[in-house]
Amino acid sequence: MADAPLWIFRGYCTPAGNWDVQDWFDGLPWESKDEIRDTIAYLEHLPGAQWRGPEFKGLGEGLSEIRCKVTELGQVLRIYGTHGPYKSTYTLLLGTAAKKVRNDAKATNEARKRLARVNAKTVGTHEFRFSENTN
Amino acid sequence: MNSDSRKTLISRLRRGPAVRQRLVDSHLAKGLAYQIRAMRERLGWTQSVLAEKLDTNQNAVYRLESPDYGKATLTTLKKVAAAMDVALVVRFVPFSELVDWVSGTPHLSNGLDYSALNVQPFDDEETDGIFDRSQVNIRQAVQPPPTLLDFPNPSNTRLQTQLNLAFNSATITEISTRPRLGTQRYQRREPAMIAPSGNGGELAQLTSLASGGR
Repeated sequence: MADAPLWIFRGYCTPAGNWDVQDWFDGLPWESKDEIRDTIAYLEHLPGAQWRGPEFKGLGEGLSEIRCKVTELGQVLRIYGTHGPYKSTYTLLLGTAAKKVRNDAKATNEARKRLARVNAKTVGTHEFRFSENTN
Repeated sequence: MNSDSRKTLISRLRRGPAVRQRLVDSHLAKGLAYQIRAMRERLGWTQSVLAEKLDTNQNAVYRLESPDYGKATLTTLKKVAAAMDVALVVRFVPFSELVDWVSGTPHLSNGLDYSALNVQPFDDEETDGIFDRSQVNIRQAVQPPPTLLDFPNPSNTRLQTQLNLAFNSATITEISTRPRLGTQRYQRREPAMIAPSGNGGELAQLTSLASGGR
């Protein structure tokens, strides 16, 4: 068998217990979901030090973003996240879709708030499901 | 893997030809970009060093390493392979093989067998029910009949178990009986007569011991 992934992806749970990023992902058009799956398929096998631009960018203080370009829809998807809080996990904190890559201060601030909650363990995380529910 | 299960991939393929080509494009672009980047870093080269070896500029190497680029020519890829002293394989494959590759499922290669050259299109694979079979069944379907593991001496079961653990039977048969190109494949032979030299030599000795030194 192929080597197991180096990274397990988890999703942010809101204080109310909602799976915010999972719901965002599940509601995306299939083109966007496919693009994210393809990007994650490579990232999950790469050591953290080899996560680089243009598909990955560190934003400082533990926050980072994964970028996926969906050419057909003319969109750039950004998923804010963090390496942690557990070993070999990357937690997805917030997902956004925009027409262009530019600094999204509002989203970045919200992601930082979520990161602080995750680090303080005032909210939980869940295993992220990229696969389609084919049953 | 957790991101792209076989079921999800197969469901993607069934969405139509455009989606299938998108999957091909996506994995070509990303796979090549990540490979070039990883190989360059393994060699300790900067993008500028690789650019110099390819007789191009650093910006061109940056594009080659971008998963969104996907426009590398075969000529450029051959240059990259030569600069990094690695082999380059470009070939058409059935979608079932792409699914195996992306999902990390072991795949038994048929080498230069005619079936590997005369690639089945997606619809033919669907008609044959390739995507409805379990992974085990797919492997059994391409597996040659077992010959070398029929050890007659029951006292050698421990060695047989070790061999079974080390390789699956298809791999042993494949390695030990690999004939020259164009000759009959998978023909039944006595273990002691198989592969006196080359890669199969040690394996032939093991199988000979296991069968009672015949």
